[in-house]
Amino acid sequence: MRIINAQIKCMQAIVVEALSKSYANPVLKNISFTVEAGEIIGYIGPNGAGKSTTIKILTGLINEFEGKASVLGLDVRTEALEVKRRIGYIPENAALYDTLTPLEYLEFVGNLYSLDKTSLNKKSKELLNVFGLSNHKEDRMTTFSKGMRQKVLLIAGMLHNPSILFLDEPLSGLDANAVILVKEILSQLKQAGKTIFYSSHIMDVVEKISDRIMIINKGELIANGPFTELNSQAHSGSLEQLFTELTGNKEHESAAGQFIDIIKQ
Amino acid sequence: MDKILLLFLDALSFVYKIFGIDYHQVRSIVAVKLMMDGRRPMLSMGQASSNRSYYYALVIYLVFGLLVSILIYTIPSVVITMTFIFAYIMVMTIMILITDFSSVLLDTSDNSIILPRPISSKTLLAARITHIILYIGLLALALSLGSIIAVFIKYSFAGILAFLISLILCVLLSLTITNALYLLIMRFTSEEKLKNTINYLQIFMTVLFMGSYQLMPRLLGTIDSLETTFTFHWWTYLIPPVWFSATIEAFETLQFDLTHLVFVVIAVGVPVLSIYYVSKFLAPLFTEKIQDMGTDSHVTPKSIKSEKSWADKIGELITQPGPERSGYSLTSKAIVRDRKLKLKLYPAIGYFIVLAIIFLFRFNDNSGSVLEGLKGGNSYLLLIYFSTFILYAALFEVSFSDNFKSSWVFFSSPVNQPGYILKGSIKALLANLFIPIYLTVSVFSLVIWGTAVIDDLLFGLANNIVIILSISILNKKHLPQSAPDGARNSGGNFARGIIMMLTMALLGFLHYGAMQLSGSLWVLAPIFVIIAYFMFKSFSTITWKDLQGA
Repeated sequence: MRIINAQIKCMQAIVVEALSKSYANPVLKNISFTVEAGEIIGYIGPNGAGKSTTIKILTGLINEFEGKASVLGLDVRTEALEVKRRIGYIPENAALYDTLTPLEYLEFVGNLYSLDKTSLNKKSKELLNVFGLSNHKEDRMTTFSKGMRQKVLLIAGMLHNPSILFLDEPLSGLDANAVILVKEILSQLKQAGKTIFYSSHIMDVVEKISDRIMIINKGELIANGPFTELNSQAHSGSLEQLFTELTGNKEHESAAGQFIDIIKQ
Repeated sequence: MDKILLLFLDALSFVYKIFGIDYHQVRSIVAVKLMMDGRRPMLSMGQASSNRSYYYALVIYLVFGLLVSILIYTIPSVVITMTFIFAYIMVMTIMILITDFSSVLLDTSDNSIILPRPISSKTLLAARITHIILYIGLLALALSLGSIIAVFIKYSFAGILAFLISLILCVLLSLTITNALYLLIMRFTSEEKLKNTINYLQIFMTVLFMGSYQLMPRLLGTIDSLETTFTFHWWTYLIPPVWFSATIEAFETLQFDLTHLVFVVIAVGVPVLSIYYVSKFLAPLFTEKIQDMGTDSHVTPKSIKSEKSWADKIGELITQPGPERSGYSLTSKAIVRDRKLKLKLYPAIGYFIVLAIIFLFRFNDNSGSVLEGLKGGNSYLLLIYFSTFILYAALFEVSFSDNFKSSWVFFSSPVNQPGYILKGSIKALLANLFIPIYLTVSVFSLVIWGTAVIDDLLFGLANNIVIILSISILNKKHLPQSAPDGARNSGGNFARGIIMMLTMALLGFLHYGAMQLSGSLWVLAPIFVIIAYFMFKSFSTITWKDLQGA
């Protein structure tokens, strides 16, 4: 397996050293990396590669692991509460209390961060308006589509103005306009100095918005660097091609042919 | 109501602060949980969806509690009265906790909503415990308010005090029993099994609830003959409600003999020890298990065996390949796997069994043995046609599903005659539900009434199928699992319902009428088989336009 490392030097927002985690089988195998403040990291890998486990460790949700991990200089194992106060996390397929209205939900989340009640209500209404949900702010979320729920989750994750954002498939279910809006928000957040740790399967978005790309496969970090640099070393045309080459899944063509043959039967 | 509870909580905020708990966060979580309780449908009330259902349920429990409290005036013995009342409160509390509160206790959505926020585990645990105490406190108050009032009027000060303390201990004991029950199941089985077990307990609870409407008045009618004094046996020490009732009697009648003292010690000791055990060992383990449910992303769901079940094998014999077999297969699997459907179907079966038993023995005048009384009449007719009600309920429920949108697959497939899907679905109901029940009824009838009822059983079988096919043809037609719960009460049901009831009654009475003419059932049975055959055939004429929601 090829390992590509590119050199980056800035102030560190995330430091991971020799991180390993096992359930029944090893999920993360001795991975190490750093993320600089203000960087957008595209963290990609096939299903079951260990992406969500890495994010859960960095957000203080899993505290049993081997190795070291710190976020904004805080140890995620021993100072998880302080880490959570400073980060925003939007998990993949996250649950919502859907018998609440979006306004009630955002108010609830804001209260957990001890945000000021009056400004919280105003801020929530304004953010819902930005995402085109102002007409639904008093509706219970049981009736919401996947995209509408995702918008509420995005707002809830950023309501407290975090320094670092961890996003796990944030564009899931969003319509084209909302995708463009989120991409623009991420780019402006970067300009404002925020760090973004972004995990997704949508390669072209990752390619466009990320300063640096990390590819994880079978629990191992197999690539780490800016796309242009990785691309020049691997001589691939797009991130998709690079990803396919590095993760060893080169049989797409034959699998597709096999599929067509079977349906013809 | 929520506001009053939160004000009450505000008054106790200093307690949280003493223990270093973030009261602001606890209040936010409890406020949201109470709001969601108020919006959550209560399964024990048989409600699929409604607003303010928790408070509606509390009013119902309050009324039930008032009815039970009448016992305090009708039964002279303190122990007997209180045993009834505490048994009622304990059973209801445990059952409600399992059926309705299990969704709250086992809710893993907290894992992705609350755990990523800056909230300490101590604060989260405090919020959870506060919510449980408020929920169970209101519930216990609703269940026992009637008894509390009656006790305040009738008992002495010592009796009142003993009653109130016993009540708290009884509710705490119920909570620990439920908690221990969950952990026991979780320790030995998977999360999926736990949900299934809860599902069966929910079914049992619903049957108990419906059956008790019928049984309670009959049971209360026999109370006159009870003795005025209660005799303690060795086994009474094993019944928790007796511990509390004996304690109350000790204080009310100031009897502090050895027997009563032992009960007082058990009544106080067991709940206190169990609370200690639960809070020290079980509660942390429980919280840990719940958190594991969501965070461990590497649990692969257990696959369902791919071998053919007996239902599949029967399906291959009685259905044609194509849409009919698809309808059969979907309905057969939904009956076995869909928890929500099971929760609607199986209580109906249980309820009709309870009703059947009550009706069977109603005709017995106590002059001879129960068996002799049964043999003398023709109650087997009731059994034969009770099966119709079960099938009727199943026919209605199988159309509805939370995943109704998945039925797009029917509408997008090139099926010209959707009636075949319905036909397959009805055959699945017959094979999976009706035939097993009818076989049981037949064996029971043959044992009690002998071979003389064979013609009734054969005609009953054909007639039941004709009845259910008639209802299916008359009723609004939904493909299986294709309608949202909201479509359940759509208009036009009343007139349709009357016509269906009349059809059922007419065909039922036809059986009774034919019985008067010897040998006629042997002639009618094959005729009804032919009618059923042609009715099944008529399903092929059903078009997409005849279907609801198509």
